[in-house]
Amino acid sequence: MKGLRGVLSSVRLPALSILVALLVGGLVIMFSDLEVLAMIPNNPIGALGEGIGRVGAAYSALLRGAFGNPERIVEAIASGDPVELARAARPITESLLKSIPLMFVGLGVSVAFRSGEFNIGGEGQFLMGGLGATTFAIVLGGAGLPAPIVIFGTVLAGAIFGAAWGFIPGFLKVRAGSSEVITTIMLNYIASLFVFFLLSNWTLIQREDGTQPISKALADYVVIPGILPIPELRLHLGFLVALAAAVAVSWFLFRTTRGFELRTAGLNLAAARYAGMGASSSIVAAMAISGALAGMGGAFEVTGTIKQFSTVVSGGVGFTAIAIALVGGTRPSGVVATALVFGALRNGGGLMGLETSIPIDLLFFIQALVIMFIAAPNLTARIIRLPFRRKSKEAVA
Amino acid sequence: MSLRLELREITKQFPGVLANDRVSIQVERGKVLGLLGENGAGKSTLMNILSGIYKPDSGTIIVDGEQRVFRDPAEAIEAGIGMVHQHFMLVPVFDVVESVALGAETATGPLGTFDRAAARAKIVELSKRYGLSVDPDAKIESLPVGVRQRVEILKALYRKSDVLVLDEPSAVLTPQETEELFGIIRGLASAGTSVIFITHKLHEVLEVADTITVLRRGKVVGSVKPKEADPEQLAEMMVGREVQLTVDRGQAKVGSVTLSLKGVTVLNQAGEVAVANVDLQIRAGEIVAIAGVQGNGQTELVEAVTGLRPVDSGEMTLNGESLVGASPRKISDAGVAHIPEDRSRDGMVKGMTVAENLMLNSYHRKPFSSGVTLNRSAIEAAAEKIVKDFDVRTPSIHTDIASLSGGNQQKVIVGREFSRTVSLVVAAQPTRGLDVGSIEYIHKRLVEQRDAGAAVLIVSTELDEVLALGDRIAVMFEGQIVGVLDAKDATRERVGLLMGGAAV
Amino acid sequence: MKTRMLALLTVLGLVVAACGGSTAESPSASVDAGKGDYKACLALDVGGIGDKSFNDSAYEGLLQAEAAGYDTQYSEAKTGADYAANIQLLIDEGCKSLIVVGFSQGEAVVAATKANPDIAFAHVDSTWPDAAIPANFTGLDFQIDEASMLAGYLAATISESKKLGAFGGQPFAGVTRFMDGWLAGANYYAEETGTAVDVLGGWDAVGQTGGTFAPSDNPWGNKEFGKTAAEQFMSQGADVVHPVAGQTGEGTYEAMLAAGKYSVGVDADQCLTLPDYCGTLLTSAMKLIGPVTFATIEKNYGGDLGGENLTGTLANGGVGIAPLNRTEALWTATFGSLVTADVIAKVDALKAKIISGEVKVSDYFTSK
Repeated sequence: MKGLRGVLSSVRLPALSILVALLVGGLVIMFSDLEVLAMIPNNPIGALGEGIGRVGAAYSALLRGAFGNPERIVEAIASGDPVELARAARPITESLLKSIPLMFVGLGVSVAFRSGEFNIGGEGQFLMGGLGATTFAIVLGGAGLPAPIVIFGTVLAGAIFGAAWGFIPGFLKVRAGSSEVITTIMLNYIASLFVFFLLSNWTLIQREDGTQPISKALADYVVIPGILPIPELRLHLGFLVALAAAVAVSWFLFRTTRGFELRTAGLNLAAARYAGMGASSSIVAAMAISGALAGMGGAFEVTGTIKQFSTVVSGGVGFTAIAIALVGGTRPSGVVATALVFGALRNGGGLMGLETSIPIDLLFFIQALVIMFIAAPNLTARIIRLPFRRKSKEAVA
Repeated sequence: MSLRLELREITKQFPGVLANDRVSIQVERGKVLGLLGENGAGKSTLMNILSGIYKPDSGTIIVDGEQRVFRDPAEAIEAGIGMVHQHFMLVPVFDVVESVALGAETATGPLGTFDRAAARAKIVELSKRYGLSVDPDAKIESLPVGVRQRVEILKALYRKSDVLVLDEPSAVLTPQETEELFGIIRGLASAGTSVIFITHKLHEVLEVADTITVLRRGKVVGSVKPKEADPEQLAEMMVGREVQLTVDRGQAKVGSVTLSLKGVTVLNQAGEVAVANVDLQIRAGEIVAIAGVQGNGQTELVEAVTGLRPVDSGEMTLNGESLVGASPRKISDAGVAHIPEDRSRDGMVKGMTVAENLMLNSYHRKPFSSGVTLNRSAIEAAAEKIVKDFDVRTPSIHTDIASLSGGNQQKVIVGREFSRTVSLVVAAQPTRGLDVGSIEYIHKRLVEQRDAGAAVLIVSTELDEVLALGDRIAVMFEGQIVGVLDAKDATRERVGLLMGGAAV
Repeated sequence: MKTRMLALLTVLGLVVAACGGSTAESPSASVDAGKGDYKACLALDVGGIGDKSFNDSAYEGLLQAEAAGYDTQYSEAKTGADYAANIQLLIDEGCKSLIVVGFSQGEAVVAATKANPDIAFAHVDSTWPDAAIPANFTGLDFQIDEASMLAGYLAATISESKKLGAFGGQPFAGVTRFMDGWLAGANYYAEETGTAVDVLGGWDAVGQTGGTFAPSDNPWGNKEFGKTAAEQFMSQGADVVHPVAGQTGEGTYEAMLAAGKYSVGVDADQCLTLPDYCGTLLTSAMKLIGPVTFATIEKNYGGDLGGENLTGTLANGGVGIAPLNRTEALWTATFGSLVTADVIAKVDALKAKIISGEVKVSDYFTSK
């Protein structure tokens, strides 16, 4: 088993990448500030100081937005006032909330990666999950069934819709040899247009006044229970289910025969065939599981977090999830950790935008840099001058 | 006698590996230097330095008494050094003239057009002078491998190379073609060309080289003259210990027919007949070795027997049960062990641990699987036992198999396949690319399987291996079995002739 | 009903004041010491600042509030999950008046409005889902068909071929309402003058079906389609085209300008936002989101936190067409001789009739 050293060494590259990306992001903040740029010709040192100040202000807001203000937290605990407590704890609970869809879709992408499939369709599977959840929440909730049944049915419907959207490209690959990269991208478009069509035309789910492509208020049909004692904090059951899903995915991949077949097919399809494994069914199963996870993410996001279905619920989660799967090394534990970090960054970005008017797009830039650095570890090593060489593989022989 | 080329104290370090450690070699004008060493001894690194692909960390290259630094392959070519790689670098749809002139076209005419006639004349002249008979207008794809190699040599000569480096040139040739190649090498040498002949085959250097330099683990172990050397001594230099060159084995105790092929025809990827109407029977307790130049249907035959490729027509039975249409899993479960030809591609999963690789064909069976979940303790216990029994040198059963040496990887595969009772062993190229020690080990294990009562089918392009192991030797040529010889009748010459398609 | 009328009048007055204020009055004159302590905030939709559409328009209103001395702040959403989070952040920042932009934020606004009765919420482009509007909520909707009816009437008046064209980005109500009004304006002209007017594009305002729309993969940024549609309309004889499709419309303006023909812009006064096309832009049918945003902030500051759905109309100045007495050289070169005082008077007359209720847009969905 891997000890602490193993964990540290597997965390080093992603951690360094995030660090370097934040440094580069800081440079961008500094040199995109018109006031700082204007100072450079006359007062370069002053400009530098000013620039560093701006970066400090931005990242301070980012951190406070993501983890909260320590002073405020201490005061709130001292006061014991639930409103103050909620306010002090909200940054961190919101960070956790933002990580939920990233975890689900990141896990889904990882399962597909492990079986050698490049699932770019997380976005569509997420949307279809949202659609399934919305529909069944309204149907089951509208029928007045007990809450646990409605919740279970809602999430299950999301998983099934997502699974169906993942199954299609898997099946097409096995049967017709079509590349899942192409089919999953195309299915993203189909999902988003299909959802748009239903939201504009299907009175079952469309908001009552019927003029805009947006669903009914889902809180009237299903309430995903919160998991914190303060009701103002909206962190919900989805977070626990996401963690449980990570454990389940880990168990599936590493402890079951099916998972073993799937990983073998992913690493070496020829060897899987040689070993007599049904590689085709592994591919289809992996894509369906991948879609189911993304669909569950969509279900919780729509019914638990946003509480209303519209076409903007996904917001590129399928693509961020690819980054998360890569940074997390397609290991469930890595995916959870990375999703927590990315969720915190995304959430902190809100306060950064508010306080400094630096658009949250900067974080997408930082996110892109992280991926680039993960993909080019030697570059990262060169930027950060630290001993970084991996132990040579030949040397062990 | 003058030195054409000298490498002095060449050192090249790769991460974790000292590939060349103060290596010095000398090549005289018009002489043949045999560079002998096992895989991984540093031969290829040295040649890549000589041809300007790598830069040495230290050391000097001296050409005609002058120190040179090759910044890129073009400078090495310009200094007269020509490489003939193990894997040919030819465009199949080009003809010989185009292939030879490619990249060294003599442009003439107002539009800088390729002067084909001049190039052709020069090629015809070169092939006459050195006895490299080639049809200059033939398409590469229509040429046999041996002739393609001549085209590669012509390419080097066309670029006015007078130091010719041949990297494992006999790997793809029949014994007869190898003999012809030796003739060509002697001709080139007597015309003043220096030749560096890289190989791991002892008898070849003994036959053709003027001087033999032996490399081991990146270092020069010594240089000898062929007349003063004997195979045992050379092998010991190469491996670093005493080596047994023949396989010890008793008489086969032959039982009933295990595998029977009747009129088996198999198609290749392109849908062409790769195995044509083959009849073959293998009995329990005997080793049948199939000889043949690569690409004569052996790969497809093995794939058909192991279920990886459908049988187009004919009968194939194992202990009387038909194997036609059976899945690889079913065939494996019926007691067939398979050591695949392409170890990296088929035989193992890089990125998985040694233990996982050892379970590749039994993970689904009790006690390793409950049906749904894997039983890790049973898997680990079994893996530890195989690693011990088969002497796999690995830091742990949890090590990624990719980090093991080729020999240890092959031991993992052999261990996996032989750790259960099997009635048929199919071993394709079982020792390709392995060091002498591993070869000895694998051979011993194959004979053990025979003696334990299994039928053993070995496919090898190494004639030495076929002759050393086969109780019977079948030769494949263009998809057919052109002859089956008993070990006592199988001489190098007879088998060689059959490999080339001649009737015996 | 009475309070509602009063509120409408207040907003109308404020809009007029706001419109005038930015040019005529010096900002310091209207600065009130209390405004510096009053935080007015904007929660923008996906697209954010720089969308050259409703987010930008609302932001203009916030800038106006800033100039008037208010403490201001804004947030931009990237996905649906940001809606509630951003609104909460703004609440935590101490916002007293919070204008939320975009219909997709519906559920987030509703929840925040209920949870924070002391804070005034307003929702641009949407109204409260049912009749029980909370006292701290203002829904801001736009009766844009009134403005586009004026535009359609004006277009029919100056058209030589008496053929007009219109197309949309996607068949949302927010888009097709422009087309309703455009059609009604043409029909009104036909009834008034007895001259038949053809409106190309196939929109059926009665059945709310048909119509020409941009391809759905890129409805709002497809300039190529905007150009093609314009060329098709012109080949059928149209000489004034009204694109309701965001930046797709820029392709239309380009084609119409090149042919020496005319267009009518959407949402904002596009003669100002796209000055290069001023020579083809007869006028624009505008939602005055910026002024309405500012007016709502002023209203909230004055102590009226809401309790109503407000609809911007010609009457209260929430919608309108771009001015016809403009002085830009490009505009006067094309329209100076076409848009005569007489034409302006006729448009004003129609406007007065719509305001008085004498003319209803929906009465002119078919030609008589």
